[in-house]
Amino acid sequence: MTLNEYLKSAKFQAVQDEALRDAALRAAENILREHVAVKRHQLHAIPSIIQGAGLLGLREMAQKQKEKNSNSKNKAFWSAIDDLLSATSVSEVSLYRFLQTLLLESHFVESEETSADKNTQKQIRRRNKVIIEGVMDDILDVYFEHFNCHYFFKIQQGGSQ
Amino acid sequence: MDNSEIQAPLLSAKTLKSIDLFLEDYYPKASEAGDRIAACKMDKTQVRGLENLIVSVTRFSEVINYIKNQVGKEREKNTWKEVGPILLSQLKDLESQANEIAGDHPLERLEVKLRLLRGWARQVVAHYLYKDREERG
Repeated sequence: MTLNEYLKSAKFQAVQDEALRDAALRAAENILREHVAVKRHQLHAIPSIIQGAGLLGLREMAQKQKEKNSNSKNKAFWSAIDDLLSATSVSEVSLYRFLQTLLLESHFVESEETSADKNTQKQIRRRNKVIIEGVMDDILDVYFEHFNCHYFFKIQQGGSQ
Repeated sequence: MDNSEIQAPLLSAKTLKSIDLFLEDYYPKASEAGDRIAACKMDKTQVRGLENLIVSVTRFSEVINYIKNQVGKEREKNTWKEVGPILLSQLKDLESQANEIAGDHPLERLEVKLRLLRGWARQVVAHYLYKDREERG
């Protein structure tokens, strides 16, 4: 099965409906646990950015907001969003890591451990990054649908806004 | 992402029967949800909106997300806040049941979830309409 076939398969549709949702819920809860909740309109911008400019657009916005937003709550929120998307994130709830594990298990990316040579590992990492970011771009709208709705639900429940 | 190429599987007679049997057993719980919706006097258009969404979704989680989004809205009187928890808890029951019926067959599991969802919605909405009418006299 090619990656394209996989992305159109029922198996992947189930991933989006179940595992991706769990990943988004964990991320939203983690961000709410570690940072003060932001106003809803901060999240309202996310779907339209994804629709208009995809992963690149969202990443640009997150980076701009984390650098320039004068509100410390917003700054922390956007920094956490940027981290979810980053290949260098060490967070257990990062979307990048979730996709990396998923695609590794499905054999669409290669394990860096297949080689002991540092340069080869670097090349594998670079190749993997292109694949993972391509898939991320594809599922970003569904991921943030799960993320946003759960975030809104939790702040209403906790009344922490 | 476009999932238009994914075809709905033909479920076996045994699976369809399992869905029906579960929904029959679940009727009292679904009625309880209908009661709660009527008790908090949720607007009929809201209930119809949920019902229409359930008929048209291709992903089970779209309904979960819709309810969470409604609960999460800032409104002076948010009736979704009152019924959201029971609806979400019942959706969780449906999802667990779908996993039990379809097991590790992703396409079948998705189809079973959607059938359970639609059957459940019919029960909830019918009971809500009945109670709503009763309460209005």
